Amino acid sequence: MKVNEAQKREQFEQCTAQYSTLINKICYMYASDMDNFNDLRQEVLINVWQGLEGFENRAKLSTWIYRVSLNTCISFTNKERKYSSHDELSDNIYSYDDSQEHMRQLKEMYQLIDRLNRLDKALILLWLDEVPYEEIGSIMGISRNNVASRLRRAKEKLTLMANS
Amino acid sequence: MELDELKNKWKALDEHIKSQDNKIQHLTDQIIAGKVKSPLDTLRRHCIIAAIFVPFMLPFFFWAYDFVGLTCGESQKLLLYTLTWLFVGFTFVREVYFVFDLKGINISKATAVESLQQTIRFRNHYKWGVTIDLIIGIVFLAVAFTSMNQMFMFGGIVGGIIGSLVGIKMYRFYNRTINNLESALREWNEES
Repeated sequence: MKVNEAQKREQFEQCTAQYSTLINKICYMYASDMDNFNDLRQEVLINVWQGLEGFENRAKLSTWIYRVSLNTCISFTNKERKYSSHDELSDNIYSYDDSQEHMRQLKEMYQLIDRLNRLDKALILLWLDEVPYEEIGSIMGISRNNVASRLRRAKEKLTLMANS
Repeated sequence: MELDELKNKWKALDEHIKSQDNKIQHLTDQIIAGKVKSPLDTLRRHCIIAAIFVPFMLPFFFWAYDFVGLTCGESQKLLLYTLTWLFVGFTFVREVYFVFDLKGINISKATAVESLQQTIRFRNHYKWGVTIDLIIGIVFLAVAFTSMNQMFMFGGIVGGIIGSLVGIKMYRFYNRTINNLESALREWNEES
């Protein structure tokens, strides 16, 4: 194997090991069922692999992983929501020793965020992970001030939906 | 649920989702080995193969007309040959266009909004490309098989009906997905 291919392979393996939880969480929040989750995750990983050569280290690697994961999920989530299939997804994600109440609350979180449109959902997921506003703006393609105002509106929507 | 509570629950999801981490390792190995391809790569490959083989349809059709024998007048014969060139030519150009159009989707460098716009653009082009080709194909089939004997006319009608049904289903599928993506983008732009 050539040196640069070996380096790429090593970088890919390190990257996926380090950010596997992040990738899984984003795919989980966009997936409608287990098949969709597996498809999205596969697509994200392929895009990471193919994009690694062009990643020029100008941004943080974590920012780039967010970008690839969110872009993939935003653009390629097609299937209509089937909340009954979310049970299958949850059963595969959650540990068996989780309390019923805990699982109920996690499902409630999923269903609440799922009601946002796909771009607002990305914004909220980045905010939940405490990504700095500058990085959110760079990932979404908006200014820092715009991030703040859009986040405020998205949070208001979430609060309204949670209380309704 | 309060927003702070939401943040805590989001962090709690980390522990649950860890159970999926080992499956990523397996996927990683398969991707490095080239055993899995993305749907876009598969589509690109199909378009390239189609672009290579579609031009061979022209000599095949001309040979078929000579072999079967045309039972129509000169004006219809001219129309038939024109439609043959148009159908094969449009299909070839469409496939080549899609290969280059797919390069416009840049998941790893685009912003989220740009990526959505690129996907919508490509899907619209794909939808219309297939739809126009289908319309030309149906007209071509109708002219072709009314220019030949009854056995081929029957085959043409059946082919036309099946092609139309498949085409309508594809059109409606793409329309639905495109509308879904466009409404997300519209809602986002209205808030700016």
